[in-house]
Amino acid sequence: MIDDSLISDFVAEGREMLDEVEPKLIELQQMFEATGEMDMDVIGTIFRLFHSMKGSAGFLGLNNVSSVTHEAETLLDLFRKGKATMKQEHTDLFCRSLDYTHMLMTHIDENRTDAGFENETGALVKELKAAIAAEQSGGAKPVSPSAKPEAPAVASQPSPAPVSKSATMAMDVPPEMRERFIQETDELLDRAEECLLRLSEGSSEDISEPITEAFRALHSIKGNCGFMGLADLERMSHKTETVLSIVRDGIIPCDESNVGMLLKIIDIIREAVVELSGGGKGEVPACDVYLELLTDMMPQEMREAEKAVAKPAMPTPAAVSAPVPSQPEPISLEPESSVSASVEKGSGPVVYVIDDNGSLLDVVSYALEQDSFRPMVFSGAKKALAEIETAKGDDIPIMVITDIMMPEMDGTEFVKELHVKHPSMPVLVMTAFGNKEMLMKLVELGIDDYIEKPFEIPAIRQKIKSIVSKVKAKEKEAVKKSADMAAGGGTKKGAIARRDIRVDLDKLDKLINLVGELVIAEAMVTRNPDLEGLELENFERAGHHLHRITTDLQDIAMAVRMIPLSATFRKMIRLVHDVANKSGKKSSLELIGEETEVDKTVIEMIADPLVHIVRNSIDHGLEPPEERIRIGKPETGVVTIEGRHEGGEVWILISDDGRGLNKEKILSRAIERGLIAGDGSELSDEEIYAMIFEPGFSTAEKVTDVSGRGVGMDVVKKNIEKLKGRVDIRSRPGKGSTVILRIPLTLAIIEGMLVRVGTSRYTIPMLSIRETLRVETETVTETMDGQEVVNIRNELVPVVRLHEVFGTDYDSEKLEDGILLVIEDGRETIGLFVDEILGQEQTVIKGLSNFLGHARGISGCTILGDGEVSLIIDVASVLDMCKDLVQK
Amino acid sequence: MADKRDLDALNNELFENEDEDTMANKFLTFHISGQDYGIEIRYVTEIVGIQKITEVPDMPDFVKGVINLRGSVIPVMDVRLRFRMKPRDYDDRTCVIVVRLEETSVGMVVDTVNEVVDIPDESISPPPKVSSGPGSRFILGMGKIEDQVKILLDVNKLLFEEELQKITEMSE
Repeated sequence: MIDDSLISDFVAEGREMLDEVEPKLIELQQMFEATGEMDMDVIGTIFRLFHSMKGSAGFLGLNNVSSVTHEAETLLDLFRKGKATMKQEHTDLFCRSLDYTHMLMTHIDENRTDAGFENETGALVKELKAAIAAEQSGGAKPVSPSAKPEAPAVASQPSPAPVSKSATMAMDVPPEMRERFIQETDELLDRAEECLLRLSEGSSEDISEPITEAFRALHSIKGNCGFMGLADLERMSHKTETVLSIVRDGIIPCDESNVGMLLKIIDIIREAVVELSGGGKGEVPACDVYLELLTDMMPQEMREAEKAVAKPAMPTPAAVSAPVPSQPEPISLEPESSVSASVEKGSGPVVYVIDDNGSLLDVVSYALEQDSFRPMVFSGAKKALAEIETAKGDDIPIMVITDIMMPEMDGTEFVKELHVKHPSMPVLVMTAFGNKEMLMKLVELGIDDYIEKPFEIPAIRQKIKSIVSKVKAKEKEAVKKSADMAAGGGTKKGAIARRDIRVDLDKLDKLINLVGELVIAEAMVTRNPDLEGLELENFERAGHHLHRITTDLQDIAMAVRMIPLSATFRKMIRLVHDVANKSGKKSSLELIGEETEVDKTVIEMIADPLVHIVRNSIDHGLEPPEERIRIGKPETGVVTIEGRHEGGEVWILISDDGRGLNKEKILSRAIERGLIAGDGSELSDEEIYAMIFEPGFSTAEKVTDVSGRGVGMDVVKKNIEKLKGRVDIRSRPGKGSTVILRIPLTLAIIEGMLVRVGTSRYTIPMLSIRETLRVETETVTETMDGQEVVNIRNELVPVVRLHEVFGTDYDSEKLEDGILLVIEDGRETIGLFVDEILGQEQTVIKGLSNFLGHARGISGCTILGDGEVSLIIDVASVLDMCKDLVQK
Repeated sequence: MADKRDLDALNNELFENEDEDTMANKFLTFHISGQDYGIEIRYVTEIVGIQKITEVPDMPDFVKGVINLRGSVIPVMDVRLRFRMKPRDYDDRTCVIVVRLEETSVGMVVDTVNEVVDIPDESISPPPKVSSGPGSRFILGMGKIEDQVKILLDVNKLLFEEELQKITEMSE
C-alpha cells in the first residue's frame, strides 16, 4: 500500500505547484495579448510543473490527476514547441484544469484517493484532447502572423533556435527552481538511502515496500534531472531505477553486495548534486564506469537488451571490444588539436603506462604516440612510483594508465600510493577481469575510467582523450575557484548548502512561546522587588547585556514566522482575471512590495479580505471599458495591491483607478437602513466610507455572482479586527479608491504601557497612546450630565475613567490626582483616566482562555515581572464601550 | 507548612495515577461549607494553593478572573459562587484544583482539598430525584464511603453548563 505520508507530501507539493502555475499562466496570456509573443521560459516552467505532478501522481496511482495533467502537458507542449499559439480559450481551459486538479487534491487529502471522479476527468480530458487535436491540425493554418510558429519565435527571441529550444530551456532554469531541485533531490536521496539501508539490515521483513519507495525516489530524481538538463545524473538515476525494479521483481537477489553497490551510486549522485549546489554543472566524474557497474548487476539477457537499445548518444563502455559507437572520429576535435598541429611525435605531455605485459605496453604506447603524448612505460608499479617521485615540470605525467593484477604491487595499492602524493592524478585502469569488487574499490579510490582488456586502439585513445580533456577543464575550474576563494567567497565543501529547513509549525510556536517566557523571566529578574533600593552597578550592566540578547532573540524568533506576501498577492492574479471576465471589464493587476514579510497568521487572515476587496474594486470600482474610453481613461483599469511596512504596522493597500466610492449613495442607503440618524451632513467622508463595512451593507442595485450581497466588506473588517488591525478607505470621485489594511507587525509581543487603577494593573498598547499628561483643573470643562472634556492644545478630548468602564475600584477621584492617557483609534480620540503609570515594557500577549468567552474591552493578557497577570486593553472596544456609557 | 506538604503528597498521588486503568472510580474529594464533594481524578491536572487572581471584567460572578500557572494564564472559578453559596474569604487552606477538559484548563477554588478515594460503581447512587435548587444539575451521583456521603460532581457541567446562569437570572 502506498505510504500515507507520500500522499500528504504529494498533495502539499501539488498545491504549491498549482498556486505557482496559476499566476504564471495568466501572466503568459496577458503578455501574449500585449506583445504577441509567448514567453518560452514561462511555458517551460508551467510545463515542468505539470510534468512533475503527472509523474508523482502516476506512482501514487492517482489516475485522474495524472491523466488530466498529462493532457494539459501535451497541449502545453504544442505551445512550447511553437506549433500553436495560445489563445484565451486555452488559458481558460488550463485554468479549469488547474481548478479541477485543485479540487482533486482536496479530495485526495481527505480520502487518500482520487477515485470516483472518472467521469469528470473523462470530460475534461476530452476537452483537452479536442484542443490538442484542433491545434495539431490547425497548426498549419496561419493563426496570426506575428505568432506563427518557428520563424517569428526565433525572430523575437534571438537566442533559442527551435531545434535547440528544449536544451536551452533546461539550462536556463531559474535559480529558485534549481535551488528547489537540489533540496528535493537531497531529500529524495535521503529517502532512497534510508530504504536501501533498511534492506541491508533487516532481511527478514518484506523487501518490496522499501524497494518500491527507493524506486519512486529514484524515478522522481530522474524526472527532475531530465528537466534540469543534467544528462549524467539522469542516466545514473535511470539505470539505478532499472536495477531497483529488477531487484524488486526478484530477478536479482537483494544481497549485501547489490545493496552496497546501489548505496554507492546514491552517494555518487549526491556528490554530483553537491557539486551542482556549489555552482557546478552537476556532472558525474567517471559516469560511464558507474553505469557499467550498474549494468553488470543486471542479468545477462537484460544487459543485451539494454545494449541493443542503447542510444548512440550514450557512449556506454559496455561495448569496448567493438569500435566506439558514437563520435567516430572525435580525436581531432579534442583540445590536443592545437598541440598535435605544431608538435612532432613524442613531445607532448607525459603519460605513465604500467603493465607487466610488455606487448600491451607497446600497444598503449603506440596509441599514445598517435595523439602526441609522451608515453613512459613501466613494468611494475613500484618503479613508476619511484619515477614520479623525482619527476619535475613537464616530466610529471598528465595521467597514469595502469593494470590491476601485477606482481609486487597491485593496481589498488598503486592508486592508493599515487594519490597520497598526487591526489588528483587521473588514472585509467586496464583490466582483464570483469571483477566488480576490485573495480568498486578502485572507483572508491578515485580512478577516472577503466577499460576492459582486450581493447582496440581507437577505444583506448578515446578514453585517454576524454580523461585529458576533463583534466584540463578541471584545471581551468580550479584556477577560477581559487580566484573566487581569493576574492573572499570561500565555499564549504561536502554538504549541500541548504538555505532553508522545514520546521514543524508547532515547534516554532513553542519556540516563540519560550522566547516570550524568557522576556518575562528577564523582567522578573531585573525588576525583582528584592533589588529595590540597592546600588548594583555590575548587576545593572549584566542586566543590560541580558536585555540586549533577549531583544535580539525575540526579533529573530518573530522573523522566523514571517512570510513574504507574494504567494497571497499572486493568488489575486487569477481572481482579477476571472472577475474581470465575468463582469465584462478589462483590468490589469499591479503588485508592489510582494517581498514584504508578515506573520504567518496575518497571511492566513488577509487572504479572504483581499479577495473581497479586489472583487469589489473590479466589480464596483472599475467602470466598463466603453465608459472608461468615454471619460478619457485607458480602457484597461488598473488594480494595484501594495504591501509595505509603515511604523509598527504592515499596510496593505488595494487601489483601483475606477470611479471611486459614491458618497451620496452610501449615505442615502445608510439613512435608509437607519445606520445613522439625521441627514449625515455632520459626518466626515471617512466616516461615510466606513459604512460599507457594516454587515449586509450594499449599494449595489443588483446582486451579481461576483458581489453585491454586502457580506464581503463585513468579512474584511472582522478578519482585520481579529488581527488587531484596522481598515481605512480613501476615495476620490472619478479617480478611484484605496482600501488600506493596517495590521500590527507582531501579534505576539507588543510595547505596552503598564498602568494602575486601584489594585488592578492594565497594559495599554503603546501604539494607540498619543500622549500622557497630568490634567490641570482650568483645562477641564464639565457638561451638565457630568461628562468632562479636557482642552489639550485647542483639541477637546472627552475623559473616560477606566474604572468606570470596567467597574473596578480606584484611588483618584479628581482628574488632577491621576494621569490622563490620550488614546486614539484612527477616528476617535479620548482621554483615558488612570491612577498611575507604572512603566513601559515589552509585553508578551497571551490569549484569554476560551472558557471566558469574549471579555469586552480586553484583547488578551500578559504576565508581569512579578508573576501576576495583567489584562491588555483593547483600545477600539473600550472606545465602543465609552459610547455605550454615554448613551446610557 | 503542613498544608504545603499535603498538597505535594496529593499532587504526587495524582501523578502516580496517570495510567487510565487506575484512574477509574478514583475521585479527588474536597470540602466546601461543611460538605464533601468529589470529582473524577482523570480531569484533575494538579492542585495549587490560592494565589493572586487578576479580575476580568464583564464576567459572571463565579468567574473570579485569571491566574498565572507557570506561564499559562488560566481562568479560575469559585465553586462556592458557582453553587450560589455565600462567598468566603480565601485563607491558606483555600486551594485551586486545576482541571482540564477538552483542551481547556480551568482552576476551581475550593475551601480545602481532602484526599483521593476509591468509590466503586456499586457504592454510587444516582443524584436525589427531588431538587431544592439549581445546584443539583452538577451532581453526577452520590458516593458512599462507609457512613460518609460524598457528592460527586460532573466536571463538564460544572465548567460549561451555562443555562444555570440564565435560569437563575430569570428566577431572580
